[in-house]
Amino acid sequence: MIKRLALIALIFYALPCSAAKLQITEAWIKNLPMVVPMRAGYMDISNNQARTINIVWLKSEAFARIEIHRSVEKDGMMSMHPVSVLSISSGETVRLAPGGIHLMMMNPLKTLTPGDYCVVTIGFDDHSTQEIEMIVRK
Amino acid sequence: MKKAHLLIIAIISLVAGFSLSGIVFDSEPVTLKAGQWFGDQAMILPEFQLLDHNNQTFGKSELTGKWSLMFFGYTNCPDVCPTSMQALSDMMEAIQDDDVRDALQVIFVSVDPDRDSAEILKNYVQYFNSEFIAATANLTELNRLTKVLGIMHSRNKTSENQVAYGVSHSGSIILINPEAEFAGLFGAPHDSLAMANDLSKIVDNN
Repeated sequence: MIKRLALIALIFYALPCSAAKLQITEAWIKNLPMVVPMRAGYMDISNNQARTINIVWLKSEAFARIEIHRSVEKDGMMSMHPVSVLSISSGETVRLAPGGIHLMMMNPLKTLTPGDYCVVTIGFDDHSTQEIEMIVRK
Repeated sequence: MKKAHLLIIAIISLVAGFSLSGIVFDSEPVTLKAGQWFGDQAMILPEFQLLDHNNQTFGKSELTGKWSLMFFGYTNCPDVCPTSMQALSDMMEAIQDDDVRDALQVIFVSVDPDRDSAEILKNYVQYFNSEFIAATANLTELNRLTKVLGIMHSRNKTSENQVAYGVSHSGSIILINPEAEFAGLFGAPHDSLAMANDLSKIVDNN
């Protein structure tokens, strides 16, 4: 019995976990007219796990490509810098908000209007994934 | 006769009083919560020529007669520009006084003329407010305006033919007075309610 439990525990430990790793709240996409190919996505990401979680990619059927970017202000000049890995430490909440870290969501593949939901898959460095829903807001 | 003299003296005193209060009032420095006010140091703008979202000329004369708020950005900008344009949209909605709102105009100036056509600019700017204006020009013409306003912009391209690229740019909203002078600015991040209060004060006091 103990052996069997240990085996089950080992399998669960070894397999990439597809259950929710992160608590995602306030996940939304800023709507823009369709002639504009870029959108920004925002959310609060909380890590209630015991270890640091690293986001390495995101994708959605609603966009051709999604990257994580950070808007930076230096000497009054605004610029954007790609974030290749977004690390969320244990117990930390990272806020993706206007003027800071955000999802750069490129080339919408369908018409989006306020109130629509987009499913976005988050990929982690341990090859596991998590699906979230983001609402389109005006 | 004495009564007539007294009346004349009273009228002169009244007029002088109003004038004096007017002088004192005009010279009061305006302090803004959300930005900087240049007061007497407002800067005369040079002549410049942009094309607006209807392909009409937009130059210095289009800035006279109204208080203008100018933001310099580009439509491929996902975060900073929509955030500032939304703040300007929210600011207009927050201004309750029709006279104040009518005294203002908002202009989005694209610093990415290669990608931002008049049609794209029209769709973009009017998404935020149907009264907003968008304009752009080639970089030489744009720089005539941006240099005077202290607005910086640079395209982050590794090759001339690169299609997807970002543009770094100043985040300030520029305030132009009805004499087409550079009168102040609002630095980022932009607080729509504080800007609404500041502009109501500016329009009422001037």
